[in-house]
Amino acid sequence: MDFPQHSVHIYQKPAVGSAFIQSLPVYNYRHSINARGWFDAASFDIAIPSIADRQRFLDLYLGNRIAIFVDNPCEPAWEGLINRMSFNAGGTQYSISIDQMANRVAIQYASGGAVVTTETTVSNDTNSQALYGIKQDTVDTGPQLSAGTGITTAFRGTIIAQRAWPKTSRIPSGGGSGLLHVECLGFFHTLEWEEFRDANNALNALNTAITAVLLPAVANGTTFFDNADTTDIAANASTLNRNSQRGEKIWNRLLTIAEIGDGTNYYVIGITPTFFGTGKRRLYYRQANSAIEYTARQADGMQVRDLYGNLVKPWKVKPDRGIRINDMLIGWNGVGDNPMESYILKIDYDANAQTAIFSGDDDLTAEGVFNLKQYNQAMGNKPKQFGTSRRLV
Amino acid sequence: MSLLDHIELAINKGLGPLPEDTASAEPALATVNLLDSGAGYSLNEWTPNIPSLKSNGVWADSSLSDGRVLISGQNTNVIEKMIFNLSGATCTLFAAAFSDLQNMIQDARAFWDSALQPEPVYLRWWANGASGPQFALIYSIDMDVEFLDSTLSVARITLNIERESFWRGLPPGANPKQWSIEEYFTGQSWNQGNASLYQGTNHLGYGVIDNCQEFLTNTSFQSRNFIDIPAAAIPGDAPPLLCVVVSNNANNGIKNFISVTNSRTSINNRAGTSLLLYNSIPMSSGTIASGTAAFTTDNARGIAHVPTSALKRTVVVTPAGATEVIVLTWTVANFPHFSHLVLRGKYALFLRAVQIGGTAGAVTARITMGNSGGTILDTGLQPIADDTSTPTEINYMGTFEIPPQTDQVVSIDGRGYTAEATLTAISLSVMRSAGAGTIRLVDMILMPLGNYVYINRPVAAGLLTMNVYDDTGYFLHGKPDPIMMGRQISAGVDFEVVTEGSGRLQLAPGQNNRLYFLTYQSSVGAQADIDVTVRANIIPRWSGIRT
Repeated sequence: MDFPQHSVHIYQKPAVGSAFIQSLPVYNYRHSINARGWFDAASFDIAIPSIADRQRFLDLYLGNRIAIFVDNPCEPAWEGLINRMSFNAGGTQYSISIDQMANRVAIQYASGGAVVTTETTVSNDTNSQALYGIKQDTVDTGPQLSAGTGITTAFRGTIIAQRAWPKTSRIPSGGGSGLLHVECLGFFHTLEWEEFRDANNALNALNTAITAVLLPAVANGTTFFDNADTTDIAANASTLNRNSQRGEKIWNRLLTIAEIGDGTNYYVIGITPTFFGTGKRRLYYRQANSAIEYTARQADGMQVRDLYGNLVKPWKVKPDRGIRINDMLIGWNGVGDNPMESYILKIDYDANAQTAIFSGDDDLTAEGVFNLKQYNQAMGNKPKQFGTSRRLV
Repeated sequence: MSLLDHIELAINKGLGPLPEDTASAEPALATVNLLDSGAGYSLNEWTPNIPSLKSNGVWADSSLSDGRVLISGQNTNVIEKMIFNLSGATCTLFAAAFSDLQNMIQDARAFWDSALQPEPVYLRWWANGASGPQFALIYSIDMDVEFLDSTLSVARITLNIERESFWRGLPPGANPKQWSIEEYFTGQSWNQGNASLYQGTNHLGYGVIDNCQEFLTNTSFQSRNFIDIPAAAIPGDAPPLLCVVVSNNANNGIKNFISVTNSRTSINNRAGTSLLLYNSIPMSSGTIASGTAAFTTDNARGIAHVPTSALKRTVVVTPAGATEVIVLTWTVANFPHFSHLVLRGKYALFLRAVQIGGTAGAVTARITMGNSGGTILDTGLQPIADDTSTPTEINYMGTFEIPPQTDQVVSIDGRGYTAEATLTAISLSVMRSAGAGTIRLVDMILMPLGNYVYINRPVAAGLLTMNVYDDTGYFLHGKPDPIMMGRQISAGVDFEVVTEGSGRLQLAPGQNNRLYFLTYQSSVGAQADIDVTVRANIIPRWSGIRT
């Protein structure tokens, strides 16, 4: 028999260190991996019978790095950060998360009817940043005839005082299950934690825009990945003006660069898995891999197979490669794209069902299936998340 | 006697002290003997069950094809019904016996969900015709009581017992060494003096082993990094439980890779020695591209480039720069053992190599393997560790499968269709992105995927250290989870340290099994001449009656 036993390895919070803490078996495991970003989201349950232990877990491990191992101790099936934990106790569901946390805040406003917005300097809660890394939020107060201290200083101070630490919530719920539910986000999501502004006016080659402009601007530095390692950044001579003054997230800027492509090919971008020998991750930017590396058959429910027909373990299935359905339209020789073949943009894996569902370009149907935080936009569509995340009025 | 005339049947709690151990903290064994008529028990009915497929398994099932195929199947716990009469000459005696039974039931549950009850509760059964008693950990017991009309206090008790999937040869949590001493070695008795898992040589599998594998001939070795557990030492029909202790013979921290193979995945010659080539594809027997590399004779770090050679060699390559260049290739003549029939399976590939000098991360290496049908492995350019911490490193390169598809009848003489005999092209290329720096290469190492573990123990110098893999439940006092941990000995006291371990080992019962070890020491890295002492013990398991 095989060993699909899945285990979570819990490490320190990346801003604190990288030491191993403990490992536990996990249940009801699911993950998604996206060609843009790579490890996207994961969720699982941990069996911790005592309520006191579950509460201790919530206190200690939010924001910690985790890795999921199945059958290969050198290569995790998924890795990222613990973003949210919740459990049922009696008739209440208790949840804690870093979703709404912001330990660096700035206020944006347009004064005197000006078109260009002004952003205040940031306010930091360095204690929170020392644990969780820098997570920035910019609040847009809209047009202000003139910016009083209420807008520029007090409001900024109030936001950071209220939101610098993880937020909790309680809602009525069914009886306790004894399981702690954990939701995780991949490392590339930390690039959505920071804003990018550049007042310069210059054209850069796309790879230079990444290596010389965006990566050095990552305020979290080497906390979540090695922003100084540009080995995996492919060359691309198309140019883009580095100017950006609307408060885009760094990740959105990187996605723009990736989606520009090179005039013919899609490009993909994301954070690599941790290298076993060095213990580090880095940003990759490369042409999308359209080579067919998987096959499948309608006759067995489209289980993912390799080119020789062997079943691929569903937790090992990766996006950013092509898949061909072998028993469909045999002998096809039509005009246009071969409908037997798809480019895999995203993989959703469910351990209980032992299946990996692959999504192609422009497929949004998987978004609601697993109810995970996802980022599945069709290639060529600029994502809508842009500008400040909160706006008054 | 009939099949169901049991010799022993009892519910036990705890393990009891070790014989001759006067300082044991273990409480005395508590037992409810279900065959003890003097205590009022009279067994009516109990038929042992076998495990079934949990949730009926996960299947690939489509209306477009016949039948269905099992994707993943795990065993359920076994639920059995036991019906017996419990009677007492007086109500008081009956109440006492009933209370003992209730205690067992509550304790069986509390073992799982409470920290206050650490003693495992288990069945002890000696079947008619079995060679000895067998044991199964209990997860839960439900009891139903029907009081009967009688001059005695009598009740018909129905127990629904949920136990683990298989029977084991020792109680849950028992020291696995006990099986080796009592059942395998003759002339030794089980007592405190024989109980050590990390001392002595009287273990089911024992060896002082090297950190590489070099062939002397096709069937013998001049250095070996494995121990064998022969088929005769693993009775049973279910995978046995395993306890492996790897002791470092130098005083510093170690990390270990441990893998298991068995004779199904190899060709067993008539002497029972496997023609396995896991590990040690030496760099120094490849063909070196001219002008780019040099052999160095480096006794401590290298391995023998030809059998019987006393010279240990490494290959030092100076990368050409930011252009990737193939520097080493191997062909059929280099590897008579490198046959598809021997090596088929999925592997994790490691390169024992280190970057010397230059900027850390500047040197990368790629390994490709192919046959006439195409490329079966391309690792991509992988970062190579540098030598600032240790002079030899293990670099994980990725996973691959040999051969891609065929799984035909194994025979070196060929039966039906002989698969392509060997890989035709293995090559290693290197590149240096910036600055100076060379790369020292020793060998390539294959670990069977799905059956290997990695125990990553933090570095600690100056202490005798050990790594442990155990799924017998000994270290968890009966809980069935496999654990991997590091232990260190200081001033005669040994204690556990936080250790990261992952993977799983499984031996095959009734087959020759070989455990491979790859060791990384905190002072010298993964040098080929490190030696460690390995001690392995098992607890066999059965689905039905112990044989």
